[in-house]
Amino acid sequence: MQGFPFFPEQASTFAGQIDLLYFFLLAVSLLFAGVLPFVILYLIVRYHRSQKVDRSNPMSSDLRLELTWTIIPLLLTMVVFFWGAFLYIQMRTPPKDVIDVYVIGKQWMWHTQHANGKRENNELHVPIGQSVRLIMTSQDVIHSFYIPAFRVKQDVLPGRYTTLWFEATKVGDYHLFCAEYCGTDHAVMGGTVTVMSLKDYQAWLTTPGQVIMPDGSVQAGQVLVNTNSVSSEPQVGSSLGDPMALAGEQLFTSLGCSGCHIMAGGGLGPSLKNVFGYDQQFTDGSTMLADENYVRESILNSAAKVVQGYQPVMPAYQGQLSDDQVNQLLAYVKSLSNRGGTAPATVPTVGAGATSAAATAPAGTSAPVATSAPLALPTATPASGGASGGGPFNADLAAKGSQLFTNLGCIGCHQDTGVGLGPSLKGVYNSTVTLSDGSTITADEAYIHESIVNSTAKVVKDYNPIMPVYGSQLKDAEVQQLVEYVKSLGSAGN
Amino acid sequence: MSTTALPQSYMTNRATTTIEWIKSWLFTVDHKRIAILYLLSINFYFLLGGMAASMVRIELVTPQGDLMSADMYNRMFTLHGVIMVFFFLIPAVPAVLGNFLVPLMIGARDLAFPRINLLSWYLYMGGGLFALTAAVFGGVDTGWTFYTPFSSTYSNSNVILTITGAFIMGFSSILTGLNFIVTIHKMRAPGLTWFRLPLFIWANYATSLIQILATPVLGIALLLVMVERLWHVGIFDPALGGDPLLFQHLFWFYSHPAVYIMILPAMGVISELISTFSRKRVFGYEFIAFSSIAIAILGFLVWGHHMFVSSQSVYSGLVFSFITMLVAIPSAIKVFNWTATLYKGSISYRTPMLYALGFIGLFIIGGLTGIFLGVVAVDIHVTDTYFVVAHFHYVMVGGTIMAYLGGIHYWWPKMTGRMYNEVWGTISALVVFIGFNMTFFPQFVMGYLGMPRRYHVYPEEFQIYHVMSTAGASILAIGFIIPIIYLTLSLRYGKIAGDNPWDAPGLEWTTTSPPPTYNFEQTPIVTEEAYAFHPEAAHEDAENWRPGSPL
Repeated sequence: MQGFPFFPEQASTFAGQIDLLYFFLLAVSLLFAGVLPFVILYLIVRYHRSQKVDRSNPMSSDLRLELTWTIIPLLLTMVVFFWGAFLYIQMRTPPKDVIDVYVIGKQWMWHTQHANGKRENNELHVPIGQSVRLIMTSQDVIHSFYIPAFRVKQDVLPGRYTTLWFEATKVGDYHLFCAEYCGTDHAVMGGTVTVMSLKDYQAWLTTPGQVIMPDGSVQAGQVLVNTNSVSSEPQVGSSLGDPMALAGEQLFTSLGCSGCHIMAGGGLGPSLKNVFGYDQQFTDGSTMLADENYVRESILNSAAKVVQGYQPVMPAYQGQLSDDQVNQLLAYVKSLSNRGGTAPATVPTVGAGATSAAATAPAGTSAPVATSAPLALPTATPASGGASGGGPFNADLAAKGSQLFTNLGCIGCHQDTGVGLGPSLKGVYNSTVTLSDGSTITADEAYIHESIVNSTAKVVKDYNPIMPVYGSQLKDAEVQQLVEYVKSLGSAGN
Repeated sequence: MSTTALPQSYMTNRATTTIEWIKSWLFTVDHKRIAILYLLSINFYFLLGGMAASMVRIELVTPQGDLMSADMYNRMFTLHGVIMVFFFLIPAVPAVLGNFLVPLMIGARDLAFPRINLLSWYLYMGGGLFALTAAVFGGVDTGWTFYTPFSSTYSNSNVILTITGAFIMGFSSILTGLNFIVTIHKMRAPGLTWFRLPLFIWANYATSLIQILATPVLGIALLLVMVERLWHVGIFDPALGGDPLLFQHLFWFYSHPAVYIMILPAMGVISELISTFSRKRVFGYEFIAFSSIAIAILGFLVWGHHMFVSSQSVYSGLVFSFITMLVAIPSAIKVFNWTATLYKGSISYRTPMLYALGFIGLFIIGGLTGIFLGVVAVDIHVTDTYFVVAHFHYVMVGGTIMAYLGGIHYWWPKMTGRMYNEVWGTISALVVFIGFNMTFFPQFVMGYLGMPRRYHVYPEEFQIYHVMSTAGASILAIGFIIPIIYLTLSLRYGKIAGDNPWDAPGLEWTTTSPPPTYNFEQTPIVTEEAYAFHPEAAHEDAENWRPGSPL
């Protein structure tokens, strides 16, 4: 047993305000709970049947009394309602300059990642005097992120983001609890929130540590310089990997998103510059503010809301990306907007020694394909059967295939110029293709067919296996049209 | 005509063999016998739920998990919650006292649908059987709230069995509500107008409205959990394309009104007790009656206050908070009117009155802390902590169980024809009151300190409060066991009660104790309001008091 705590510590800007309201509620309660029982006690003693007192003219109703004890409690509840309402709105309105921290809850641990890439398990380090905003999601069931000393709590749901913000006011270690029952080890799903001075925080932020990744693997802490910017796996190799926005950018490129979402505009997908934090208009005419949940939905279930002027051609990434990866893509999309909040670099740097390793290490690797090569998008047109002089193809089907090639967004990656994320398809038919495992194959009809329905089976040398698998999305007839279109692009020997 | 024959008590019958005797109970359509069936089965479940609670409290004496594994603990508090909510609190007052008293209080022969009434009891028992089976074969670990997607996808326990139990029990509740509504509308004795009805009837009427309107929603919600669990249809689990919050909306759309299913009939009991033992018409009859209806209606519009931190929008948070403030008012009106009833009454400290006074004391605390929780900014800190646990135990245990016990004592002479032991009655009421406060008051402090609920192990600084709470729970347990003993003994050794031991004005006291199967020899004709005490009744009662008379 440990002392006799009576009141929780106040360690955030909310704590004092909420406690004040709490004390007001206590005082009003005492007005009733402290007085009414004594009134009752007085009455049951004074009017006990053994007491000879005046009982003449008993009342059995009185409108003025009824109104009195209806209106006074009503007024009091309205006072606490409005007081509480203003406080609540404040608690739900984060200031502009916040430090974003991404939180993933899972049975039974908390995983957090800071914008500079630093990760933690069951811990959260925050600086004093800075507003911190948690962007949280769960990998499985509903959890709840609760820091009693800050008086903040927010459920963490699977399949969407919830957010929470606070500003710590007192250096120290505080309890972090999971407050929503989540199964066997619910009681131990918690840890510590450490509030640090700015200087300590800065130093901590740039020091690697060992963490357990959301997928369960353990990663020893070391500063990894990102070596491969085009990889289907995000660089999550250390607790201090890439800044999230950079990791997101790399993912954005390696997944091929940049083929369509051309920041200069003109791509098959909308430019993502200044999307986050702005109203978006959709094909059905409705509008919505692009917040975290909108970005998340647009990645995982892209057809749900299609931006006006664009076709629903983007593949849905549901099931193909981890929450971790979605967080990084989100961080990247936010970094493209002037309303995307602030990067960790704006945390006042204290002392020259605290230069962020994360800010310097991967800088050279960040040349993004997306922005460096704004691509003119050609319209896919089948070469006429006669002009190609190659193998025969069905011009009718090829025309339809051409349309499909554009609509599906294939054209975004498979650029004729050869600079796309996918190989140019010009003259591919019947040519000899070198695959990533070094073997060669003749690009016959069967090969083209397979490359569409099961794109990762044989990947062309120097390209990444990032093309979506269209097997389940296309009808046989449609695949055939695409094959005919590819054939129409000419064949080897021409 | 056999009007001269002695009225036969509903308890006795012509059965000559044991089998016949058992049949005469299990196939009875007499509302009074069905009430007794409920009394026995509900108390059985109460003891079971109480045992689970004891295990939980004993485990929590130390901060480590030394008595039970985490899984065992989770199953234990779930068992406690499921049993107490679905199989004790919701049916307690309506199914036992309501069943026994609604026809008697309105001068009717029986409920409108006696067979459906029996069916309700069988549904209740059937549901209970499923829940018990689930418990015996390993239990369930979702908490009584069955939150998705934990319950629908992740839990490896007997979710389906338990949910089936609650689902079936729901129909018992719906049918009882239906029966009461029809009975109260159609079977009141001649002259018994709406504003002559006892407040217990008003309260049960309001309760029945909630039962038939809200319970189907729970049934649907639970059924959908089953569908998702069995066939992986995406309804609640986002991994399958569902929405986890949808369940919470459906669940609380029932389960918040369910709180009023528990407390409204209890308030009805209290109105009866306060009036009888003050020997006065209850103060502000119309206000108490309409406050019941107001609570029933507003109770449907506040479910979102269980979801303030669930990611509800700010606007819905504010709206739900506002309506929650409003629902506090009719509850306050009742408390003030009960207090005013005492003024210039002739108060006696009989056991039912002690329970009623205890109810008021505990309900004041339970109700006021409800306002704390209704203020969103404060709720964010205290929701899902022991503050909430303490609050709803003050309302459900401090409210419903105090009223249930008070009602059982008050109508015991009518139900059994015998008086219970007054001294032991007084002792039990005091022990329950003290034990209850010792158990749950420390939980408010602990909750504001930040102790989350449903924790099997906890940080050491909370231990002092858990120890206090467990100590109080031991006293509370004794307080619940004492009445079981002396009430049982009273069946054999209690004084013969007579028809109207409390000199109370209700219709139920005009027939014999225990009442005959057909309730009234002649249909009573009502010419005056309920609580028709003579204006001098309180004065005369006090004049007649002599040292040595009951206090």
